[in-house]
Amino acid sequence: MPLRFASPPRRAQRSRPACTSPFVTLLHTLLSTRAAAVLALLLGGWPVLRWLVLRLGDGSDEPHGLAAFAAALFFAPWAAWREPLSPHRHSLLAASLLVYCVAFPFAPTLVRALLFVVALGLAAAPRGFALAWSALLALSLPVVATLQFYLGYPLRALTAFLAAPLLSLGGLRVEASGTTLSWAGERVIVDTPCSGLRMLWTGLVLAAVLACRLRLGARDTLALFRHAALAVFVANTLRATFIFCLETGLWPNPSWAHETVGLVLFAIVALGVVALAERRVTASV
Amino acid sequence: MITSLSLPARRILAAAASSLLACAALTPRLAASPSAADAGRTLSPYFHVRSLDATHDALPLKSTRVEAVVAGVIADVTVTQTYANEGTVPLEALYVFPGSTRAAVHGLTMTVGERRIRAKIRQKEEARATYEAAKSAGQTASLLEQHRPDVFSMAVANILPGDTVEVELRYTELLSPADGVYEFVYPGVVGPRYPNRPAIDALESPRPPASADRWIANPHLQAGEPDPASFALTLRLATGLPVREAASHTHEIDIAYTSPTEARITLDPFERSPSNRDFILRYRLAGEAVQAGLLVSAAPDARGDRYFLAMIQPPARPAPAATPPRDYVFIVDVSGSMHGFPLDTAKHLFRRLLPVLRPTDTFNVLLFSGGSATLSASPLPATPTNLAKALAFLGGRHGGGGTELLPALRHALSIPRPHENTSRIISVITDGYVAVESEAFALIRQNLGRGNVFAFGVGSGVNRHLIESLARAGQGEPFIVTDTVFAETEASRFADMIASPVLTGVSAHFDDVAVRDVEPASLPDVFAQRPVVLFGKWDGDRAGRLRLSGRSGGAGRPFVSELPFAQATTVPAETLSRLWARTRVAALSDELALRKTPELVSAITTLGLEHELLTAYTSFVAVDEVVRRTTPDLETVTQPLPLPEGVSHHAVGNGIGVAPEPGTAGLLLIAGTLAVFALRPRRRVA
Repeated sequence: MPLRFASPPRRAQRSRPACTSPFVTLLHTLLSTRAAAVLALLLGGWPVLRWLVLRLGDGSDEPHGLAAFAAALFFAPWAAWREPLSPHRHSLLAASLLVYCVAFPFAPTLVRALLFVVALGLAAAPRGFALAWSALLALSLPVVATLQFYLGYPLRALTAFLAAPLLSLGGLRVEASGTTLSWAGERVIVDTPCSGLRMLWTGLVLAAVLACRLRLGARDTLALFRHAALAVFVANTLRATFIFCLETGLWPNPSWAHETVGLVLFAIVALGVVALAERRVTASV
Repeated sequence: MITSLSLPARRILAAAASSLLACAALTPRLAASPSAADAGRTLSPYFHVRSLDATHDALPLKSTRVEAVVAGVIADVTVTQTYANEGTVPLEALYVFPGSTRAAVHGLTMTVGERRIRAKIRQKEEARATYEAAKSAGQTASLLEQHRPDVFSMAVANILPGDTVEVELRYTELLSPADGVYEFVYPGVVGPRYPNRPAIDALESPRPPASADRWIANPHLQAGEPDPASFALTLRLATGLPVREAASHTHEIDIAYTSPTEARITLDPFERSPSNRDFILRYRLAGEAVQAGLLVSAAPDARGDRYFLAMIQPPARPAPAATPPRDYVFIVDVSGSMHGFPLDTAKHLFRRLLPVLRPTDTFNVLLFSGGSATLSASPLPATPTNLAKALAFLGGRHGGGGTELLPALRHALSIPRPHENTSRIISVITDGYVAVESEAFALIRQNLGRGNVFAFGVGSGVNRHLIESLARAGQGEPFIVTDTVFAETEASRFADMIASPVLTGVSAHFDDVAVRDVEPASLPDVFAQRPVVLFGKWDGDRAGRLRLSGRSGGAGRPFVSELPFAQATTVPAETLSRLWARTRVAALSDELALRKTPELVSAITTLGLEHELLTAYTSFVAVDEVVRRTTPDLETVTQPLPLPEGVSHHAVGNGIGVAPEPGTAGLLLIAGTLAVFALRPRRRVA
């Protein structure tokens, strides 16, 4: 069910055309609504939409972005779509479209998609929590594989670098070299599936959903994202530490242990993010 | 003028100007990045991603058709690959495929439209240069190269839109039975290989990786995804003796007997993805005797040489009571490519192998992937407690990381034996997806006195070259376990084999006949009911005989077998000459692994050129004289390979993992549950 506002929103002033023909007035009214702007964007952005649909089916990335998209649809301001856009939003939308058009010929497809999402967010985002809602749209794009490519190695190297002293606290002389942890002749590498990017993506989706539900402003939303990302990174480092002990045989290693450790640590992070979000709401009241 | 514009308009102009400046600044950097990426590119296999670009055909190989004829103990196989271009851009297709390690590839023919072009055998670099020149000139050309004894690649250039190009290669193979069972193997797919190359090599060199290893960086389809190229196989048995018990445990087949000694075998047309695993046909012949004997070429070949092939049945096995105590070292691969089915098969095999050990034996277990772990610093007595410990040691592994075989072999060879006269048996259990085979063989050959090496290949697409060559280098035997069902059988065969050697001190003498270039130069101990196979050239008339002698069993009883040349079966000279040359090339290649010298390379090259054989230093190249491509567009497409059946995606691109993150579905479930619970509407207290 869409949210009901506690008080009527400030409606944007609709400019009236010079000609007062009823048909033209009606047309102008229709075309200056948010719905028309969104429809026009969707029509004009068909290359991006086509790419999205094909990416969903080609196996290059997981299709879980659909969950973020579903959340964005849930929080979309359906009741406000007959309203016109404010002049401020109009200007920003025009600027973003200009950037999109200029960048289109040579930008990578994902960058095009992000620019498209920015434009869509400007046209359709609800008032009050526009950034959080736009973030949900951005997270619904197939970004994980690309993030894995660019951020994967730095994150893994940092995870290994921080896991080594944690393990040393337990009396193990572990050395970190790049993404490799060496101990007693054994080597364990923090490899691609251990970068923590999936947990990061899910954590950010959770933070965005909470920000939408609690109607957090841009500053609070950004702060929540920052804290969620940090918490996920710390959890992934702890996860790497625990699983090192499992893989090297220091701890018993039943087949369910790996998945369970990851899920438990993520659940703790998720609880923390929820608590932080609620504290943000309390602080701003 | 700008100040006269409205505020929104100024903002828009500012945004546009910023965007244009950003584009201009970024463009040179974007253009420069591909070369930087090339220098750092790794050799790892990777997953194929379906392209959105419909103008080029990403899957040019449309079908593979295999036609094999087994006459006696010799198989003649013709493989026809059909390439087509369904796109709008001319293509160069690259396809990496496996071959039998015993195959003597001796012919290649390319058909373009109505034109049939016979390939020529050339020295490898010369063949590559001819191919590249033809490619640049716009001529359709094909190049067949060998990268490993069991890995080949086919390159077909200038396949124009709408073209269909057929490439046909032919090879001959000797089928040597074991325990009366003959086995014809057609390898299905090359599994992803771990290159074991330090990353620093790629970073330091500005040039692309060496062409010799470029094939490792091959795209693979996702696990379980069927091969888009169709595969058909027809095998005709014409064995000379009545065929019985012909069956395949790897594929569904249809067998039609045209006579008691002839059968036609085809794959079931409803077989799903038949090319993602080796095709194996096993059969017996009527009676207990192995179809052994002497084959000769009565007429000389083009070089004036006449050849012989002798296959001699060893004596029956003596009782194992007199066998001395043995020390076993089990080296088990627990790398990423072993994850899932192959490691489960290895564990199953291991459980079947342990009962082979007697109380007087000792053992140790060494696990290897990126690093290695040993059960014990010294050999353990084969007591039930220690055997249970060994099972638990392996049982906790799941498979992850690369395959560092060399350090494991070094470690195994360095473990001291419990007694001076203990016989050490080293059993390597691996799928063999590693690219450092030559160094491993060299290590084993240099340490022959420290143990017999037996190699167990597990999985549906085993690297047979590694398995067979490891065993050959260590004077042991290879065992291939493609399914857990066969673990029991192979373990039993292993137990039988090592219970006592069948023949030791084996030697071959030729009476009243001049022979030369006999292969193998020295005969190994025979551990099983496997015939002794000898190749060579002979001169003079057929009045002489071959006499094989040795000692049988623990008591050293003498064994003699005699084969007169006059009673030998006659076969075409070219057939035996190729098989002889192939055996000679294999022996020279094993020596090459010990030390690479120009003389050995030259010897292999000469053999390849004289006998028109595909080797590591000779390739087949076919060029159509007609120039067909007149535009500069040419897209190079590497055909993605299916993952071997049972191999998980962990075999592609993984390092030695800590462990993958939990699945996204599980994470979303937790996040969703917590969000719903935390944000549920709370009842107001009045």
